[in-house]
Amino acid sequence: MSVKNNFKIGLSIRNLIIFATLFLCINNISAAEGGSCKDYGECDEFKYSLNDMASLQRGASTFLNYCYGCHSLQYSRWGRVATDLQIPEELFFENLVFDKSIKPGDLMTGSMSKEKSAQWFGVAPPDLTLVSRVRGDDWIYSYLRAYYEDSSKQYGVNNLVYPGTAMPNVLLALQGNQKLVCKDIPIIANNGGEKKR
Amino acid sequence: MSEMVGKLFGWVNRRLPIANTFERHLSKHPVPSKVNFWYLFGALASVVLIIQIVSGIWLIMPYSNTEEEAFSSIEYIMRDVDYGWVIRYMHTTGASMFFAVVYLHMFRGLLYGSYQKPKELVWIFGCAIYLAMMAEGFLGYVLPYGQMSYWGAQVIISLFGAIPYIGESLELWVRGDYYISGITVSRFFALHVVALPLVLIALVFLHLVALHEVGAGNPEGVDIEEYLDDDGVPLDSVPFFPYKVLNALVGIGVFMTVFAIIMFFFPEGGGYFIEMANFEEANPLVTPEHIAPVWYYSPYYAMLRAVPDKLGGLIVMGSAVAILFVVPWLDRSKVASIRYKGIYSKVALAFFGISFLTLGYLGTVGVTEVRKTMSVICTAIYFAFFLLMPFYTKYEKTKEVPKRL
Repeated sequence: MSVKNNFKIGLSIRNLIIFATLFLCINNISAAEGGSCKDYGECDEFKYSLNDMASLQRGASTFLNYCYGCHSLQYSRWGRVATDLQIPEELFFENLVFDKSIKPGDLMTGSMSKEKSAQWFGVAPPDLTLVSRVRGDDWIYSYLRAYYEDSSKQYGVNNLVYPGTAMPNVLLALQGNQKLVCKDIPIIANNGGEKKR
Repeated sequence: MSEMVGKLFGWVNRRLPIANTFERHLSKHPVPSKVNFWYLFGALASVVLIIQIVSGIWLIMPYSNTEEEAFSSIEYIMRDVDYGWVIRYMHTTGASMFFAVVYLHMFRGLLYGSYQKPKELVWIFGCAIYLAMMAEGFLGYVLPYGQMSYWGAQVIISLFGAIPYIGESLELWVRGDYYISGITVSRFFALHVVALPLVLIALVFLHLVALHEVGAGNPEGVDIEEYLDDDGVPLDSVPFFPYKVLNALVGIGVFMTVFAIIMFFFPEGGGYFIEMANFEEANPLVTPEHIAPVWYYSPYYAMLRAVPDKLGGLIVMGSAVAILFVVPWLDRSKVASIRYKGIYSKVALAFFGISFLTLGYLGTVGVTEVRKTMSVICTAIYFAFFLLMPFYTKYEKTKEVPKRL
């Protein structure tokens, strides 16, 4: 390949970079769309490690004790969860599977009938197998932590991330009751000092 | 033994032109001796086509094309089928990569005038492939029957309804039902796995046959057929094997690496390759907050939204693709390559590229007043690039093209 030709290839790559820069400049006009967690603002970041097996196992235990009563994981199988989380099957079935007729190959179809639950909550609790892919794990993390007392609601709680949610605060016993309060934000006066109220 | 093989080969070759075809189209096929990386994307497109066909065949086996089971059969593939997740992500990544390499391949065409006489048919078959790909991609996107499959299909099929007089009956005929249902899914499945792949393969065959008849181009726009050696082979050419093949293998290796990184680590492509809302099963009663097409259709979606009237939008969108077919007759330039064209062509192509990318971005985000104005401006630039082409290519000062490559 000649030197001249090399130069030309370089030129076209340079042009590409110029195009890309111009394109990015134009697109910086993009307007802000507000936080992805509604009234909560930006979602909190959920930090996890897929190598921390103990943490993942605690998660499964929390899910099966607190969430699985209403929500199904209909595309997931019991035995697969035990295998993936490295929980010995016997231990898993003894402590986390409450219906003794369930076999490892069964799908986790939930323990509540959809018709009944729709009557009780107004809407049937959705299946959660794919919820983290639909909403993102930051959303779920923020949602579960954004409950606050609201006596106007059926279950006495409301949620900043999902205002008007039909779900009661299931993790209340672990988290305690949260109240929505206003934060004191200092008002800056013209002279740069803090304004007195 | 080898004598027997030779005899058998001779027997077949007497009846089927294997050796001749192999030599003519593969081993000895002359290609320009100097090309750049832009000339790689055609080969990459054929690699992705093969990936899509093979992964597609394996996806058909466990997939269920009914309203009740379409969505759950995808999750069945993801969880219960051995390596099903790889096959599925291969197919979804392949769809995006197919469009990525084809867009770059088409841009190469505009950059180096790969549509100019006598390559008009090569270009037209290419445009037809692009059109078939868009249909194929849309049909395939409906099959997982997620929320975005449903509502995306709702938007696209309702476009047929904008056609005067026959619109509504056409819409019904395409959908096969009064609303999108299992009937729509199963007919889209038939079209996606049988009808359109056949069309695509036939068009790719024609694209290649036409290309081999007129010969591949080069970034200089030099006609290598002008100077031939005593055997009638162009002096500025090299045989396809090993030069082009080994060259392409390097590119294919790099491409496969990128492909694998996406497939294994970022299969959703940040929500652009697989949209997040599509992990939720189709629900006719709940409209998603924000309906957006996958990235490769978004420029056209932005054009559709730039026009307030539905039929007008449909016409603009259709014309945007249709106008590609007549590019060989819009370019009046004496030279093929951007390297020897004048400043007007360079500026026009730059503006065209930027406006297409900007439209692509605008098609993925929600509408605001500013964005709508920008969509209108970019749509205007898109069409101006083509409609003004006969003038700026004819009247600009071009540089002289060298005789040899």
